[in-house]
Amino acid sequence: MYFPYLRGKQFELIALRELCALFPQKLSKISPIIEPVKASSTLKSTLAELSNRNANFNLIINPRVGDLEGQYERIIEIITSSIPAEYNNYQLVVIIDSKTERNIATLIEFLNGLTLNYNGITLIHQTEINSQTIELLNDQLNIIYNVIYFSKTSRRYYREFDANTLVSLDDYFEEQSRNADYLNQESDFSKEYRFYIQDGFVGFSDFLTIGNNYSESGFLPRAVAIHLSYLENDQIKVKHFVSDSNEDVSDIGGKFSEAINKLVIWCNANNLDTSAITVYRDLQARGHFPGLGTLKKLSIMNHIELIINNI
Amino acid sequence: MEIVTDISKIRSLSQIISPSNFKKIVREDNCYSTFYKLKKHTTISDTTTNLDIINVIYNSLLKNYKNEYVYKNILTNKLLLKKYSLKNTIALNEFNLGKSIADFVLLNGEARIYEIKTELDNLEKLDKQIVDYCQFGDKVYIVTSSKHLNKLIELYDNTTIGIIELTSRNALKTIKEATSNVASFSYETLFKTLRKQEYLELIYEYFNFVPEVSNTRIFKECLALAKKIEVSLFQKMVVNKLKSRNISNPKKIQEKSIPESLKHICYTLNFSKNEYEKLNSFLNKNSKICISHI
Repeated sequence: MYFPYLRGKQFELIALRELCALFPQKLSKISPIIEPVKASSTLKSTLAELSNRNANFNLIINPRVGDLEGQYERIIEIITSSIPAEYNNYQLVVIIDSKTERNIATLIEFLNGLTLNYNGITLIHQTEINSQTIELLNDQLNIIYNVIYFSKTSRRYYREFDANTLVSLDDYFEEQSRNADYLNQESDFSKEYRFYIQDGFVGFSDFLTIGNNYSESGFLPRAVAIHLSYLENDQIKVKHFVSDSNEDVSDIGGKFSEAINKLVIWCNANNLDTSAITVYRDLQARGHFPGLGTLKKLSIMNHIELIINNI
Repeated sequence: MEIVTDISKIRSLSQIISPSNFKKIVREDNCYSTFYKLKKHTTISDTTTNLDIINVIYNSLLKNYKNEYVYKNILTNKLLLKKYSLKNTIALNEFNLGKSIADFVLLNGEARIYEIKTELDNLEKLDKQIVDYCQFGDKVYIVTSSKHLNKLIELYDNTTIGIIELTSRNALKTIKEATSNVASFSYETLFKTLRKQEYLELIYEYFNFVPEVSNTRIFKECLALAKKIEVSLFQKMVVNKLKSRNISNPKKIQEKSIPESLKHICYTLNFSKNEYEKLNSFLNKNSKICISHI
């Protein structure tokens, strides 16, 4: 199973919503992890759509970025106001870091006091906790998944947990500080989709083509970059299509057309097709710039579609 | 009240009088760093208000630490508010021109660009900046201190560039008058200062139509059309378009309740009526009580 880890910003959520409509039969292959960052109507409609499709998902109750940090009650209220009371095909997620570890008793008490009808708990291990704490959590909570952030924990830490709960997590996206730095680049992403079962995991997770870095808002870039995930020799890779006229911030539509032309030529030459690529082709044919948010949405949708077609 | 004279401490206090800090104070109710600095670097009597403090700090800057804000604020007070008028002049702060950012631009019938080089600045980027500005502005001035004066007079002798000295008594003294740059105007630099809606309007006003093309081509098509307009006329049309970016409360900023030290901040942040009220309420508060709450 694939666990795409997404921050609950507008276009990330719309990507999930649209995927539900596009691939209703394949939703059992994914279980998105959503870190809510804002009590938006898009968040509510996305949770409603997921439950409407009986799709499994994980909702973080202690987000570490955005407006909802520390707002436990508010997040529970978002759940009760958007998901039918009888729906239970989802996990509440607790991010385990040093801050969580200090408040573990309060947290357990809070979770056990909830009257929600959820499936169980997902833990995201961003730091290691000691065996006693792990035992305490196992005793007190119904833990379904242990998501291990590999680059933030030591090599054998994952062995502390039941194999049938294990999900691997890492940030495979090689982020550059400026879009122009992606020019003519391609990067390796991961091979997890191919090996996670062999390696003894029930699932794998990543931050898609966004990366773990969180930024509250965008700004007008000098270069437009479109990140396209594709498969080559059992490896997910990301090809970057970037505009050429990157001296200043003017004519973003023109910059987009430079990037999209490269993308369509490359997809045609390599016979690639996903629903997002179909949309890219249409945008290129019409010469229409849909906005930067939509480009991010399409990049996410393409990544998830690629993976669910290959697991 | 008293404040320190140590230069590193004045530098810390100088950050209080900046658009970004007043944005925090007025728009985000976030006064923490302001009062933290005041607590650290000033001695405040029981009756001191925030207005008193701001003015004491500003006067200390005028005397000991003329930073870019001081220059901009003097330009705002002496040129924008007194010499010209808000009725037919607007100022643009940190305005993108070519690859440079102009410190202060005044637009009325003409476009005047003021590049500030305080004694705290070096002259490294100046050459490139001047080239960019001459592609847009009728007149380009360098506003500077006695420190750089002779060097600049030498550098820009026999050019169109004007030089203004901010004197030790904080007067603006024209050392060299600027002359017209019309020969260096650039269609691209001029065009790129406009937002999409602005260039669509401009093209429509001149040609009575706008190209019906997709949004990835509209910029280039309009730029190509603009190049058919005679360049000095096109520059006038661009300046005219930009002039509609006026502040929303030109009357408020001229009121006496707004201290001279904050005029540039108020202009740049383009406060609403409500925000002016918040500013006034901040200024009238007792500083000692404010500090005791942090």
